[in-house]
Amino acid sequence: MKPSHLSWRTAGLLALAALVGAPGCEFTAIDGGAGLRQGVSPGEIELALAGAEELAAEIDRRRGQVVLVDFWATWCNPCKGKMPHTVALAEEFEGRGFAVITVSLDSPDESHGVKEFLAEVGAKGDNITHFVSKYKTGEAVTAFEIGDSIPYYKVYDREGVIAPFPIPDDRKFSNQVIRSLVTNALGPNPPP
Amino acid sequence: MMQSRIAVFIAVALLAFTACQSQAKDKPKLSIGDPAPPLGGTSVEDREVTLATFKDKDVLVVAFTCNHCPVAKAYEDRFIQFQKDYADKGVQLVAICVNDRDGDRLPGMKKRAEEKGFNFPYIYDESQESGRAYGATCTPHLFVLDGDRRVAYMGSFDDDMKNPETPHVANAVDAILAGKKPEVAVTKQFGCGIKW
Repeated sequence: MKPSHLSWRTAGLLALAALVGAPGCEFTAIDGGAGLRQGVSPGEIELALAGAEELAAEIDRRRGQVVLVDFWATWCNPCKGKMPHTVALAEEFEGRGFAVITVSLDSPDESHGVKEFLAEVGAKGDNITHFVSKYKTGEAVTAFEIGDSIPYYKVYDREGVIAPFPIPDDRKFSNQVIRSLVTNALGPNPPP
Repeated sequence: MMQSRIAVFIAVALLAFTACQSQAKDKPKLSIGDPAPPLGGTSVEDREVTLATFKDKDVLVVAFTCNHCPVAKAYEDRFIQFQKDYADKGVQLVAICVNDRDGDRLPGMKKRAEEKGFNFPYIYDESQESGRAYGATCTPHLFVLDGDRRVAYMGSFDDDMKNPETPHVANAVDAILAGKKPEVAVTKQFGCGIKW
């Protein structure tokens, strides 16, 4: 018997609630959680091994688009709590030349868990690319230039120039700030 | 037209300024060779602890850590093993938490220390002064102090959260015990941001 549309959504929301409600999570609310794609299986998630060069090449490939890079890991609860917002942005702005690249700092032998989570949050689309870091964690922060902790985000404008995040650090990567950097880089909505 | 150009210039200048500020914040507060800043707090045994508490130790390994962070938790067994290995060499690992966060304060720390059987002091600095003085940015963040209580190493405990191959702190401590300077004195720390 095929599950109803309502029960898939409920199951998805419950799974998300369980993820973000897990002990030690700093983020208890997901904003921008609308538009989650349902029914994505881990097998449909393409995950490639990447270092700084591969990431730079992918950003370069998308010159002309605004690119958001989301650095996360399956063991980082705040990162997982914010991933639905990243996915929602990808869907919302796909038509305006916007792309998302996720980079997991999990070790490559944990790829299954990485794909599982990305599938759960429906992170599949033509403008979404997934990488898993090829580095040890110590090398990863230096190679990817992400300070010393995740979640970490980078926004590149259409010319491939990185947009600096405003201080203070505590609220540096709030969803509102990420959204505003992305929309600033996208520029005004072209008239229909 | 002139006004909009000035506005654009100011906006770009502000952006450049904030970008520089962000980069400045990534630089370590301390340099190798600096005298160790003061450090103190209340231990899970309800004792007031400062650097002077350990004046008879040759080398101190200060580990800013906490209870909740998965990265910090991944290192707990390694800290315990390190202390076992180095206790009779005049080395003392001192764990300190400065997080302003439920679950990371002294009651949670006492529970964690007991659960894991910590064989090192675990201190809570409610003022967070220790964290600020050292420029601790995340958990775990390690500082090795030599016999003169100068900073001899700072950064991460080893090179990987899951499968470490290079034990940076152990290597640094071995060098100091042999009367040398650590070959690798600074590495990039990695973990969960400290909760100020």
